Amino acid sequence: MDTTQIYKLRQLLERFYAADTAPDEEKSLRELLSDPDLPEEFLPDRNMMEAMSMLLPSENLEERISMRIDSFAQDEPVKSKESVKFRWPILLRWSAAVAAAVVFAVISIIRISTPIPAQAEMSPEEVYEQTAMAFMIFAEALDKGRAAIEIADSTTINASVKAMDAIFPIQQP
Amino acid sequence: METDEFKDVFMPLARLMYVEAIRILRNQADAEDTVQDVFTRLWEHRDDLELIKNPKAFALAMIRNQCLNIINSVGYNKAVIGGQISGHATFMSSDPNDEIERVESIGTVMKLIDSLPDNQRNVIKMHDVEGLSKQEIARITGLSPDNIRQLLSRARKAIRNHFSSPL
Repeated sequence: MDTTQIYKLRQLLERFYAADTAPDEEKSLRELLSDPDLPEEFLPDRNMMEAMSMLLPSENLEERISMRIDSFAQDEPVKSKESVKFRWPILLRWSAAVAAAVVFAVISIIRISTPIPAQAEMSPEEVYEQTAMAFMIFAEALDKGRAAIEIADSTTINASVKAMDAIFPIQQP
Repeated sequence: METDEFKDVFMPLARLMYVEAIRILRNQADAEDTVQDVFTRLWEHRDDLELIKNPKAFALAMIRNQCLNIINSVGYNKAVIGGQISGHATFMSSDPNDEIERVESIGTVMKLIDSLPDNQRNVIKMHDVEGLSKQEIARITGLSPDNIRQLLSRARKAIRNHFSSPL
């Protein structure tokens, strides 16, 4: 190792331990530390960098994975629209929300269309009672919708567990 | 799930998956192969993955399951030391001493990192092991960039000091 390289190495090490190095500088640092003629004073730094680098994947791991996915995608036949699978849990969620809205709408229409006996103005207590009843009907409709959504949620969780078991079941030793 | 969506969801998790695999298997080649295997399986079952609410937790669980399958398979000895599993791949290196030395070095540096104070350990794991930038670490932890730089500096010096102390 010549004097210039040793000077550069010292500078890079100072910046590295100050946590000021960029990724390309750290790459240069690793290259310098892997020099077979490295002076003994830098051996602890080399040992440290080597140990830390064992925790790292090879540089192109993500690229290889991405290329593999691309090749899988290219090898697959194009799916037709008819073969798209139904997503039952998602359908259940929307069905539950729609059902709750429909129930509320129907009840509201029935109440609106029911002729109210002619009478004098309602008292405040009667108004309060009617309003409370309307809210109660709305809450019941919501509860029914919520129960349906909970069933859909539970179905989703079960689907996740089944997918995990299907993809990677834990094998007994 | 389309290819682009699959990649958007799972590719950012590749490094984390590798970190989890190396933690269990203590072998770089095995860890990389495991990550690739898991990605292949995830791709094959991608249509079932749209219901997964937490892809990160799911992918890490997949990695753990597969690593456990590897450890439990024939030819992969395991010894439990202090609750940690250290793996010796008996069929891997032509020189078993090299492989044992590599496994022990991985274990040593992981123990060193774990022995650091909490903030230093978290920052060096996120930066040097998981590959996050200082800006990303600042966003996750709420620490200032200067604080992160200081913690990373101290952590690196502490690990270096271990390698400079006489055996």
